[in-house]
Amino acid sequence: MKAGSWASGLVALSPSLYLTALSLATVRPTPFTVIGLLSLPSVFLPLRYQNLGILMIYAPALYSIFELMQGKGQYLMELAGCYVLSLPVLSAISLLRGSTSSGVVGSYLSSVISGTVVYAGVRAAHGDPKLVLYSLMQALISPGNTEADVLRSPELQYLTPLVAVSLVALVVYIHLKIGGGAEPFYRTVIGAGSAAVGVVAVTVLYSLLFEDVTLFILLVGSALLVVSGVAGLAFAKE
Amino acid sequence: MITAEGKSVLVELALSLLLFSTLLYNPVLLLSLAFLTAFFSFYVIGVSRRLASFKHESVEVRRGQEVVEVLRGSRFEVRITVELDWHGIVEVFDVVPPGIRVVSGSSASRVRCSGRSTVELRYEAAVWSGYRVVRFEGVKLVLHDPLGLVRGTFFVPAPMEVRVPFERARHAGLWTTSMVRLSPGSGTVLNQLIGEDYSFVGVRPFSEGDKVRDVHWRKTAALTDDDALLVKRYERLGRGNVVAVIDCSPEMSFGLANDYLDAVLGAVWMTGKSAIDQGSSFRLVLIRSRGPAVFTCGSVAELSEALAGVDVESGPVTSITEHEVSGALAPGSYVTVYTSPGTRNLTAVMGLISLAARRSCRITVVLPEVRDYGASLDPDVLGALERCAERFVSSLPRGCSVRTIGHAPSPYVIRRTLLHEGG
Repeated sequence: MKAGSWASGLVALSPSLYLTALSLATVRPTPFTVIGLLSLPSVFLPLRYQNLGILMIYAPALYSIFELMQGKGQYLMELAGCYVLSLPVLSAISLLRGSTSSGVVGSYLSSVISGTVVYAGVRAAHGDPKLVLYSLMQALISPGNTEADVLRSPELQYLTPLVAVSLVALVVYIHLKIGGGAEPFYRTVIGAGSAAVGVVAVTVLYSLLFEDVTLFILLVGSALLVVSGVAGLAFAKE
Repeated sequence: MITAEGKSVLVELALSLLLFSTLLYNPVLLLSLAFLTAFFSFYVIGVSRRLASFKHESVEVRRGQEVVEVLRGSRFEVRITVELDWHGIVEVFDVVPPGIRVVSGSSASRVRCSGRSTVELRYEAAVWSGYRVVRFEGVKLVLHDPLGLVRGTFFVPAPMEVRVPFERARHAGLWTTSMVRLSPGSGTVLNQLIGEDYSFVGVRPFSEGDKVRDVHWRKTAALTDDDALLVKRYERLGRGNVVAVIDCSPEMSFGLANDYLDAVLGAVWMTGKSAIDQGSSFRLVLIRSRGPAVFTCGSVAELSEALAGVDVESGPVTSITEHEVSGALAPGSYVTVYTSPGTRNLTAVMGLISLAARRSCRITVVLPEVRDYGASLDPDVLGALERCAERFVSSLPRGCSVRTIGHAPSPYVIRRTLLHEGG
C-alpha cells in the first residue's frame, strides 16, 4: 500500500514535474540559478542538516547583496528568479508530506498553478535567469493573458491529459495516504470518482454545444457543494 | 455532520472555482476543480449515508466495574473498553456526570481504527463533596470517515454507579471537641440543639467549694456595692427528644469541594451522637421527594446507617401530612431543621416547622452562610438568595432560632455556630 501511495503521489505530481522540467530546460543555467533552485527546498531537510539549509539560503543571498553593492545586480535577480522557479518543487514536497485532505488538495492546486505561472515567466524571459522575476511580475499583473498564451503553446500539448491522469491519481493518493486505504470505503471512493468523471464528461459535452461553459461549471459546482452540505446535515447523526 | 476539515476542503474548492473562472481564468484548472468538487461532494454524500446506517448496537462497551464504593475525597479508576468495527478516526468520550471530577488522565480518547478495534479509556476521578450516589450513563462515540471529512455521533449506554458511604471517622474529631465543651460541670456550654443537661438560672454568692471557673466575672464587676464574688447557678433538666430534619433538596448542595450538605451531615452526626450518649432519643427526618423518612436512632451504628442514605433528590416535596411525621415530633422535642434558602421543598419545610411549633417544640433552623457557599455565584443570584433567606427567616413562627453555617467550617466555628455559649 505504501508503494501504491508513493506511485499515485508521483503520478499526481506529474503536471507539476512536467512544467518544472520544461522551465528548467528553458532557463539558462548559472551557479546562482542552481543555488537558487536548491536552497529553498533545503528547508525540508531533516533537523540534523538544518545548519546546511541555513548556509544554503544565507550564503548566496548575502553574496548577491554584496555584489549588488558593488554594482552587479544580475546575481541577485538570478537568485530571486530561481527562488520562484523552485515554488512548484516546494508544493510537490508539501503534497507528499501532507497529512490532511485540504492540505493535499491545496498543495496539488498550488503545484499546478505555480508550475504554469513559472513556465509562463521563464518562457516570456526567453530563458534568461535575470529576467525571470521581471517576467513573473508582468505575469502577475495580467495573469489570465499570460497563462492563456502559455496554455496554447505547442510544448504544453500533453498538459491536459497529464492533469486528467493526475486527478485520478490524486484521488487514489488521498484515499491511500490520508484514508489509510480503508477497504469498506473503496466503493464510496470509486462511486464518487465515477460520478465526478461523469460530471466532467457532461461539462465537456456542454462545452461542445454551448459557449458559456464557465457559468455551467460554477452552477454545477455550487449545486454539488450545497447538496453535499445538506446531505452531511441530514444523514450524519450528531 | 461535516467536520472542520471537510468544510475547509469544500470552501477551498469553492473559492478556487471562483478564482479560476474569473480573475485567473484557466480552463484546465477549471475542469480539474469541477472534477475535485464533484468527487468530494459525492464522497461526503456517500460517507454521510454510510454513517447514518451505522448501528451503535454493534459497539460493545465494557466498564471495569459497574458499582464502585469510594470514600469521600478518595480517587477511583474508571476503565472503559470499547470494541467496534470501523475504519477511520474514532473519538470516545466518557460522559462524566455532575458530581464527578477527573483527577488525572483524560475522559476522552482519539484513535485511528482499521477494522475491528479496541479502544481503551482509563482515568482517575473523584466524587465532588455533596454527592452520595453518582451514576455514569454511557459513552459518546464520534466516528470520522477515513479522510476526516464527515463525522457521526452516537451514544452507547454503559452504566456505572459510584457510591460514597457516610464516614463515621470523618466527624470523630469534631464530635470529641464538642463533647469536651459540653461536659457537665464546666457550665460554660449548653447545647440548645439537644436540650440542656444543665441550664443557667442565675447567680449566687461564692461559697466554699465553688470552682473559680464558675465565677460570673461580668456580674461580679457590675455589682460594685458588694465585694462578694458571684458564681453561676445551674439547674439540671430532664432528658429530651431530639429531632434533626434534613431537607434533601438539590439546593442543599452548592457543588463545592466542602459543601453545605457535608457541614449539615457533620452537625447532625455530632448532635445525634451527643444526644444518644446523654440518653435522649434521637430521630432523623429526611424530607425527600419519595416521601419523608423517619429514622429512630438508638445507637451510633443506627445513626451512621441513617446518614449514609442522605442524598439530594431533585423532585420537589409540596406537603408533608401530619401523620407522616407525628411519631417523630413529640411535644416539647428539640427540633433542628437544616434547610437552604430558595429550597424547592419550602412548603413542606414550613409545614413541618408549623407543626413542630404547634406541638411546643424548641425549633432551631440552620441555614447556609450564603456569602460563603455562593462566593462563585453571580452577584444577582447571590442577592436573590440572600433576599430568599431574609424572607424565609421573617416567615418563621415566633420562637424559632436561626443559625447559619459557613463554608468549610472548622470544628471551632461549628461549635460556636451550633452551640449556644451560655453563662
